[in-house]
Amino acid sequence: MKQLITYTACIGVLLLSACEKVIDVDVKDAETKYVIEGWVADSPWHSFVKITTTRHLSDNNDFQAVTNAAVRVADENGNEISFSEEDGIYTPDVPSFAGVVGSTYTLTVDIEGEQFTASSTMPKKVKMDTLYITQDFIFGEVRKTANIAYKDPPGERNYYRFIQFIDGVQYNRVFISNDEYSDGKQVTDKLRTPSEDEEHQIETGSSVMVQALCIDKANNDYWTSFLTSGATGGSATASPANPTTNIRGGALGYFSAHTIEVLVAEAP
Amino acid sequence: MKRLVCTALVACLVLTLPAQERFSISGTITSKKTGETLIGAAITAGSAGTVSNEYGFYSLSLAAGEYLLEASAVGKEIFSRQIVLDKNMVLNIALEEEVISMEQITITAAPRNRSLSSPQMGVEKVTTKEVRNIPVLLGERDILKTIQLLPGIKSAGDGNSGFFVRGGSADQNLILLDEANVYNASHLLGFFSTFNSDAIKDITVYKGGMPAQYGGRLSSVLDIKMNDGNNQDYQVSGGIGLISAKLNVEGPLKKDKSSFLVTGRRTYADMFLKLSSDSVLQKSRLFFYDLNAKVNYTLGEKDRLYVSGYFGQDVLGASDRFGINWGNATGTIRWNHIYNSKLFSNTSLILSNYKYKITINSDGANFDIFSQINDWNLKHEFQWFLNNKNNIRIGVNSIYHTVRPGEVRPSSDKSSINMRLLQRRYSWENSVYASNTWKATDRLNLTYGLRLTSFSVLGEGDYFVLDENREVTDTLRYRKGEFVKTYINPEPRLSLSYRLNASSSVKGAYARNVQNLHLLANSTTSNPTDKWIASTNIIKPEMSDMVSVGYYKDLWDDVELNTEVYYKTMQNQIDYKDGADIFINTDAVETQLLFGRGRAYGWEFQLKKKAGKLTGWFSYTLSKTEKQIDGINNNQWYNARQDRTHDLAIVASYELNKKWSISANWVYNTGNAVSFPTGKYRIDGQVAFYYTERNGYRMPSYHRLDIGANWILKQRKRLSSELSFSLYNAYGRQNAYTISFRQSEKDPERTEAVQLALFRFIPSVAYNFKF
Repeated sequence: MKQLITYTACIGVLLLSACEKVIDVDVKDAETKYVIEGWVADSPWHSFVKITTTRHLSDNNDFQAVTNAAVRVADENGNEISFSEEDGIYTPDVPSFAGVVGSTYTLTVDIEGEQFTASSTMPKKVKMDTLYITQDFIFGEVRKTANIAYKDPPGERNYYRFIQFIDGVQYNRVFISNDEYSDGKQVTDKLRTPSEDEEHQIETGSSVMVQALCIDKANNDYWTSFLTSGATGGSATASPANPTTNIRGGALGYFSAHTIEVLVAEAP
Repeated sequence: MKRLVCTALVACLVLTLPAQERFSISGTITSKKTGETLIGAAITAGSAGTVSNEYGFYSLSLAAGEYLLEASAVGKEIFSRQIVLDKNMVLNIALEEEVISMEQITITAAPRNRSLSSPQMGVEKVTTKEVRNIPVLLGERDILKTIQLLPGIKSAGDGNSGFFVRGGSADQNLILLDEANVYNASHLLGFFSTFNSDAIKDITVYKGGMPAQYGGRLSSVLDIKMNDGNNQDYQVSGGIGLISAKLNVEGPLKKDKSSFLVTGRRTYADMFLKLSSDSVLQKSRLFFYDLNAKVNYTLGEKDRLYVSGYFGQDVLGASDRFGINWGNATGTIRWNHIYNSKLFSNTSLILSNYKYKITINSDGANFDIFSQINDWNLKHEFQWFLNNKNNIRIGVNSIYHTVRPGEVRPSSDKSSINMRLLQRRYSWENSVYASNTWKATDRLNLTYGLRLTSFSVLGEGDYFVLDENREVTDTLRYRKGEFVKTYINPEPRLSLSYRLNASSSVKGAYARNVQNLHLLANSTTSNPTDKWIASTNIIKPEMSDMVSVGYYKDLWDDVELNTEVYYKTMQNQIDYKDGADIFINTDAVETQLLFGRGRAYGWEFQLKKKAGKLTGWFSYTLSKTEKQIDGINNNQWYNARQDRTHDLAIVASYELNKKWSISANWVYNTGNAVSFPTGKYRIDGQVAFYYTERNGYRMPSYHRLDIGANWILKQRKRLSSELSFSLYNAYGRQNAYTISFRQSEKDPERTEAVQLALFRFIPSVAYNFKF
């Protein structure tokens, strides 16, 4: 559905004499906020917490990690595990820690007297079928696109998130999907790359890796609002706002308990 | 001395005598050339006067006696006749075209934009001549873009036909075409209006103090009436412009009795796509068309029937993968009946329909999305010309609304998409109204009235109970035809004028308006897929109260000054909550909405030169519009997006000689209120933007000059033709359409703001003819 608006806007802009220029915008100072990104995954080595802070718009993008936080994750049975910081990333003190499908995890972060908490339930894992590369024609261009195919389980709500890496470099675009219209169907999701991003196109011989995550509703809502509410800097919405987070206490970011599956394909 | 005493005595007698017997004179005013009924023609007899109504009917009540009756209208010769009134009489008047001698090209009959003594304020009349003279984008003459140059009416964006009136949003304008509500009055993402100006007879905008016969929207009424069709002679006119061609055919079905009119317009920008070497562009579609048709019959001395319809469609598609069609259809059947010289009635049956359909064919996901809003509307009204002091209108109105919010259907067996139909929403809107225009004294005129509206939400369907977090806690199931909720709201309307002297007057007005159909829009452009929703058990009727005061003066013969101030409050305003899922497909759309209030106030000023070689106006608006909605902007008041402090327009047109006229308009306004990010952060490897307040910033101010020229090639009785040239944004100002934020390409460690400007130096030429 979101694609429609993009399509419409594209056609409109193509046909009109649009012209772009970089301008100076003076923005006010705002209070610095903590940004928390937390993963609990169903396989070892994939659970972590990152903490950074917001910066002023005119600053550079050198987002320093916050290293003095106390971070712990507990399941609903009261089993608690601490996370320790190294190179700006907090990882579980038990390195083999992995979440369990159906369990609800609570993240607690304490930083200089402030406390932030969030909960997330790990949904059922949906097995991916294949990852393959196709040649697609978009606006007169041939572009190689990654496709991920799976059978959605009927009778339940499933939310998916895909993270694409091209030749080992994470592609900075959020791909989410859900079965609102495709419950129980054989689904193919296309991980499209916009044409203006010339550096990150799939070429013949490129190695494409996709992390397929099954996420909960709160995280689906987070990424949906991330894409539609202006967090990406676009101007399509008339009332931009921060994405709806599941973190309580006034921090930005998200905490997600999810399953993860890694798929690899080479572009023909 | 004796004579004087005598006269005084006679005068006393007259005063003490019982009121002399009164009679009325009534009839219909038409154009002799085309047979079109004339709206707002002035009729005077002695000291009494009136204007013809929207069907050209007039009625005057006078004491028996001899009178010089005069009738006049814009661009028509004055009609005068000596009459002896000793019984009720019917006088139908056909006005001759004004003869313009070759030497003299001055326009003498000035459009009467306002009357000093009429209590109606906040009203703007636009003549089709004004529309014709104003240079516009791509040469498409457009009434919606013309009214945006008037004080208090603001454009929704560069080249956009959407408009905001006195702080209201775009969906708070009641847009009527031959009484039928037009839900989406724009083509092609808002750049062109659905109204083909060739078929339009009369355009009236009410910015405030709406008469009681209008209701259903908070901020304004735009009442557009189509031509009836020439019942004297066949006539063909048309035009070819840069992007569209149009044709208008009209003529008598039976001379003096009935006539027809058919008007069509189609854009052909898509033809150029066919020339493209790109196979995908070749297969792309992008066009719109409009079709207006009307017939009318005079059934006898007392009855007249009109049938009119509009159909318009936009078609947009990118090869065969994606397509979207949208459009309005309206139909109106009206029956005028004259009971007697004082009582006029009209009955209308009206259909309004707006729908869109999206088609998607993308590797395994083949499906359509469909949405529609449909109204059946029945109106019955009496106009009772009681006497010279009282003119009464009474009417009833009943509308049945059906909204189909969204229906997804797979278009092949193998589609990965399931069928999903959102529940249809049914509602029934009823109103009764009465108003009286009362000439209290020679100086004081009043119009007072009341409109009573009831809105019933009907089953079948599920309605919801929400908690404070806007989560559904209970679902209420209603059977077919069952009443879910009924809202009853009285809407008092009052306006008055006080004539200070022969050349100036003051006016005041109060009006309450109620709106039960709401447009949910959250994008910076007008989207065909913006959602219309009806009030529900949770969504309450929007309500506005506005007071306005104005001063009007004729400075010279042809120059008038109008100034008004207004203060408006709005209740039950609707907005999406922060981070709302606007593509949500649930019947409980209320979970994504927040409700609050709004206020708007401003000062409008206009200086207008109505006649002469040079015509035009200067208009200025100083205004403020704010909203307060719990859950947005930390519950504090914030500027509405359409809040613009200053808004200025200069419109001028000059007749050089009988062949050439030139025109120009310049507009300036403060930028819209807009939300910019104040900070940024990194999430999942990408830089994201952080927002702290709603609409805390301003777009850069907007200004633009358009120039145009009309060259009359031929002007004969049988054939006239002209060429129109225009240049939009003549000095090429890069007006910001949107501002977005991204990481600089040169230095990815830095963030930059990027402004997108749309139209600069857009020239156009159009050829128009008539025979």
